[in-house]
Amino acid sequence: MISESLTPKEIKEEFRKINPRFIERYEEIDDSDEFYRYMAKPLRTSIRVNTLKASVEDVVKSLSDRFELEPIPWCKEGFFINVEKVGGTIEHQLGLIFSQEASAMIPAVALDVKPGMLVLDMAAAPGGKTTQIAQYMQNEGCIIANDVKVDRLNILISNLQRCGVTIARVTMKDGRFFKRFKNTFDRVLLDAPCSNVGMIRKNFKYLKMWRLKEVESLSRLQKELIMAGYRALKPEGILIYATCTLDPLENEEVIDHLVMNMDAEVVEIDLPVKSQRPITKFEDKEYCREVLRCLRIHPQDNDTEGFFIAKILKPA
Amino acid sequence: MLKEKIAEFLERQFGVDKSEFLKLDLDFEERGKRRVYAFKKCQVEVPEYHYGLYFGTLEKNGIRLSIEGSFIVGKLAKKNVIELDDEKARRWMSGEDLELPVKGYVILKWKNFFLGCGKGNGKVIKNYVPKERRIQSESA
Repeated sequence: MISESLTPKEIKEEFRKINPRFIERYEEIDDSDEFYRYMAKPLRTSIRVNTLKASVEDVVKSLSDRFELEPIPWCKEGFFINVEKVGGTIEHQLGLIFSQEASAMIPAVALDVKPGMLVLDMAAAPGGKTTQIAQYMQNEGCIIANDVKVDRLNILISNLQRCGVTIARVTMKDGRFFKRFKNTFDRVLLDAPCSNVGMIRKNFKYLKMWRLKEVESLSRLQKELIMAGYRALKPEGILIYATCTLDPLENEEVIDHLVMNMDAEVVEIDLPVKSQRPITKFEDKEYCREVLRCLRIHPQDNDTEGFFIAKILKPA
Repeated sequence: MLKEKIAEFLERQFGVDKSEFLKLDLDFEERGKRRVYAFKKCQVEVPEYHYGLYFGTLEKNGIRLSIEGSFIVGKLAKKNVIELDDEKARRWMSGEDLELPVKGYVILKWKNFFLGCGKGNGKVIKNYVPKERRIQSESA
């Protein structure tokens, strides 16, 4: 970890020592003092109450005996909490709460699911958003919870169990498999595999591991995944594309690719969350104006992980 | 039918009204080691890796509910629900047997929450909280 007592310029130099190419790249994305100050700051711990098992009121009452809770503005089941290890609490082990980062709660809220819907979660593991979707659906309907690796699936399955989800069907497929389900799903969530820059605050390994070649390869994969997810979406359905990274190649460029190739519409996400202006020009590329309706969240905006969310509507 | 068999056990063990339980929109399936899984139907067919919530295990004389099974059944139960205080709830969730003069299957309850199912022998309620769901005894 990098000491919080360093100045932003000193933090940037520490980052440069760990991965100089990262700094070269991110000087073009966000070179502000605030960005570096927050990238080095530990994340606030947050939880989401699992309403499949208990009411928010009952769980807050139970936790308030021992901890301080602060509501998260964009998720009524979400709270910041002053506990070191959420997993060690009785409420967690009972499945009453789920340890989930605050900005990671946004995609499932924006997805706007209703009980009875048919939902595809293309990259579901470890299951934070899947279980959140299930509680908004009140365990009515069906969620196809897909991921590509067996060890990730086993964590997903144990989270589905602990949260008491009865409507999930877990599949182990490459997300592109689902393009054959044309016009099938009311809602599609693509929480895409990404370069995880937004998670550096949680773990510096993501800074060490960052490579531009990997970003380019991920961008190609994300474009294929979003096209497959869009094909699987019903007319008038909603697709949420989300990443926990900040590179425009993995964010605005992916949305631009979808909009330029399909009849997709980008819809504003109306939530009380501060954000940056999405990037419409990067390197020698220009992206369509529709990307301005996306949410680009940098760590300093709400003191969270970095995130990018786009809400896509398929016309009737 | 499996659901009816479960309904009979639950009526006997916990006073659950059979017709109320049968009306629940849940299907059940028995898999290896007599473990029962609960799930809802899905509108689409996909190649599944896994589905269903572990509900409980069938035993010679009844069904021993999982923590999630006790959440589904607990609100329908009319007898053999033992309410625990904070200290006993923590001890139960850390995997300890509880010294209570109770016999047969019981559902453990703490505040408005259900902590699974135990089996009393008249002196002690035997603990079945799986290792991965336990808390440390000194935990919050």
